[in-house]
Amino acid sequence: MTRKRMAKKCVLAAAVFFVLAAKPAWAQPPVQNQCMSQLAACYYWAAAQAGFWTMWAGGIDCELAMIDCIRRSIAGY
Amino acid sequence: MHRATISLVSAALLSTASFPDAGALRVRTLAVPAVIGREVIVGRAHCAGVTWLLTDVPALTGITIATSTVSSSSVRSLRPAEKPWGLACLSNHELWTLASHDSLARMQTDGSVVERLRLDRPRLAIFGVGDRLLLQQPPSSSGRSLLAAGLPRNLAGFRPWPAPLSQPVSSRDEQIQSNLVKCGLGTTVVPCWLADQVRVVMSDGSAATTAVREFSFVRRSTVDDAVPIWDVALAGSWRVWVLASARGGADGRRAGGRLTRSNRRGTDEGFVDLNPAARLILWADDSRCVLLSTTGQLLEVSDR
Repeated sequence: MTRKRMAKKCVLAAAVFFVLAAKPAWAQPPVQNQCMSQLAACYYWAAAQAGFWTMWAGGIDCELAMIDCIRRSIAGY
Repeated sequence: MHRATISLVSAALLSTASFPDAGALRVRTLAVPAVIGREVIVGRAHCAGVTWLLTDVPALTGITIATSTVSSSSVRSLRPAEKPWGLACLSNHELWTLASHDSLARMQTDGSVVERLRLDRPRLAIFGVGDRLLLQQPPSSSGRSLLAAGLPRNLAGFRPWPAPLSQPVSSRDEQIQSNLVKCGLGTTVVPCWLADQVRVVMSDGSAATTAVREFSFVRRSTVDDAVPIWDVALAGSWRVWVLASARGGADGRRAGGRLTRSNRRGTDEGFVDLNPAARLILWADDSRCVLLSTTGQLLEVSDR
């Protein structure tokens, strides 16, 4: 594996880790600005997917996750 | 001296006008074991004397106020990608949730999923009104109805709900935040509002009987501007209980800080500041309102 490919994989792993780590614990609704930073990280992850359709589906998943995050923040009791 | 007396009397009158009947409401804690933990409540519905809460564990909890009993079950038979959101209890006692953005699931009271329906388009929220489901569709252009109502097994027959209507926005993230609908407790008439507004739509689906009221008194307390109205319950044909949000709880969670007894005209008939704060309204009639506190207790607010 070349150094460039390894670096790319590290960046991807870091992005995925960031998205998962930022995912709110079930006991705590997120705050709204967390939702937008999660979306940005998720888009970054989606953009790094191989193939147009995987990238496109990843982007849709990011939007749905953002909607769910905002909904939990505002309408979760 | 005379002027000072007049000023004092005026100040007293003004304070009474701002907070009519303040202190007239009484709060007591009901003797019910802790109802629910710190998990996020993602849905609430009331039917046949039972208030159902759906949490993101996910678990289904039933609270019967009349007998002070609580039962809880895990939601079972969910598919891996399913993450339930919202809860509706119809007049035939069917419990429905949004299992995912594009599917509905019917649960039994023991938490088992027994039926699934594929939705024709993505939906953001689910509520119940009589025998109909009320579903929120994602906002498209402004001025469009955000809710549609219909029978669960006839998705093609869903009709737009009179209001709220989608709001114009300037950015992508605002599109969801400014168009998210919350609905409170009701039976054939339900109160619904845009999360960041104090205007509440009380409707049974007919434009002719739909009433829109501005509950401006909510802003007299220190509310969270993103969600000034935290919860609403209609009782009978006149009573409206309005729970205003509180700014910044100890753990950063949103909650309701002030409960106001109001009516269908939107006037303030007295309020009480809640301590501990309330997570949501569980049940209400004309003279009583039962809430779930942030400490897991049931609080009864009454005018007696």
